[in-house]
Amino acid sequence: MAGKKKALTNPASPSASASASTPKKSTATSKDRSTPKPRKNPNPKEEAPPPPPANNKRLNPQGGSNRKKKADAGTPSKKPKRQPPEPKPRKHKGAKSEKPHRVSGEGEKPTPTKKKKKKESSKEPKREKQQASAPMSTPSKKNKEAKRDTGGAGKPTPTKRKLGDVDPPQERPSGEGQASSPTPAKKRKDKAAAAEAVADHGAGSFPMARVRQIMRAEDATIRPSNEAVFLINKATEIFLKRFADDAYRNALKDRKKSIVYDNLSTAVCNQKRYKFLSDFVPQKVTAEDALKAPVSSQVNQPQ
Amino acid sequence: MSEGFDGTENGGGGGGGGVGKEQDRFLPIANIGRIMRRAVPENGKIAKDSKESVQECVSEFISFITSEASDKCLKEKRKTINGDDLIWSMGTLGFEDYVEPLKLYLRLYRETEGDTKGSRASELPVKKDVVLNGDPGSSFEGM
Repeated sequence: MAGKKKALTNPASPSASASASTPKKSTATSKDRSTPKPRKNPNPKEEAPPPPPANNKRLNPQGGSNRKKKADAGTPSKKPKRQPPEPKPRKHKGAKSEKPHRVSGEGEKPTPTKKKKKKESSKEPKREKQQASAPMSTPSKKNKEAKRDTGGAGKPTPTKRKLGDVDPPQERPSGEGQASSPTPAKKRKDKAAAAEAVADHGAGSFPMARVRQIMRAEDATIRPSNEAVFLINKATEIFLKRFADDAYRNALKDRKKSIVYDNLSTAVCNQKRYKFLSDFVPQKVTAEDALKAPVSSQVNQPQ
Repeated sequence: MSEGFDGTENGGGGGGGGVGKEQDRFLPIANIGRIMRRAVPENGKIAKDSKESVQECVSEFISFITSEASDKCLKEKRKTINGDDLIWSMGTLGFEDYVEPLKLYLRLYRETEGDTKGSRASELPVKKDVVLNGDPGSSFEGM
């Protein structure tokens, strides 16, 4: 289609386009000649089609923008047809911009780079979908790999252990594998670090200093030990989960999906264990009921 | 002690300092909201007033458990509250189902503490042995 439009606009363009296309074919043939024979035999079909799509891709970003503008000005009906293909060349541009750096670093031949472009371009939409679903997971892995690659032989081991503390299930096995080769004393240290990681993870729910402060609020004579503060921290977390769960069940009974004050108050009233919270989460009462209740109590008291 | 604390709060009620001290009695609302969100499904929501109410309830829960444990310690003429005291108070106050997971947490905590203390202790006796072995040797040589 682009060639026909050129023919309509510029009479000398067909020859130019033909001349432009011929050297590219010659370059492709020269590349094919440069490549060894075993590569030609297994994939003859794959090597033949790559030049035309590559040419199309190269032509689209250069002259495509101007032509599209002209087409938009002249023919408004073609706008919706040409809008969807716009993101595709952008993806390929990004792929092209990324890959030449890798190729230059690796020092490979030009023919396999084209194949890689094809393969990676096919993989790119999958990667983008994965990033859309879990954007936080992929960069962290890349960072970890980069840290592993850049680090030296001796010093990165403590950093890995620290990272292992942050993500215990993923990096503990790698830490254990590294510690298996040296002395058993290091194994013990790794186990201790893993156990500390478990404890630290639990301790991260609430600040210890604040919990200690609340514990000492009533009596300054109370001296809670560190393990007591840790246990209260965990108990508070369990209590909060159960309390929220009970409140959410009450919300579902009312056919609502949001926890409101009334759900908390009904949970406190319904269960004995929450009786100590009855003063802090009282049930809401209307003004009429509140006025009637004291009158009845006053009437009952004198009698 | 509590009266004095309340007095300072009332005295500083006009400025921003009183509000800060008021908030110091409660756990951070962000942490509370995070844990509540874990308990509730993704489509569920939590109102702000309910978070504030739960914030107060959680502080009361801590005081409730601690006061029971401190009473036990006073009866036994101890000043420091241990994890076992808290677990006992949980069982007494109707939170029996919390006891087993808390025992597990306590065991893990003590193991980690024991490992860290053990590693320090294992380093110290070696040095002491060297010193002790050195002193008698020198004394015998002197004799």
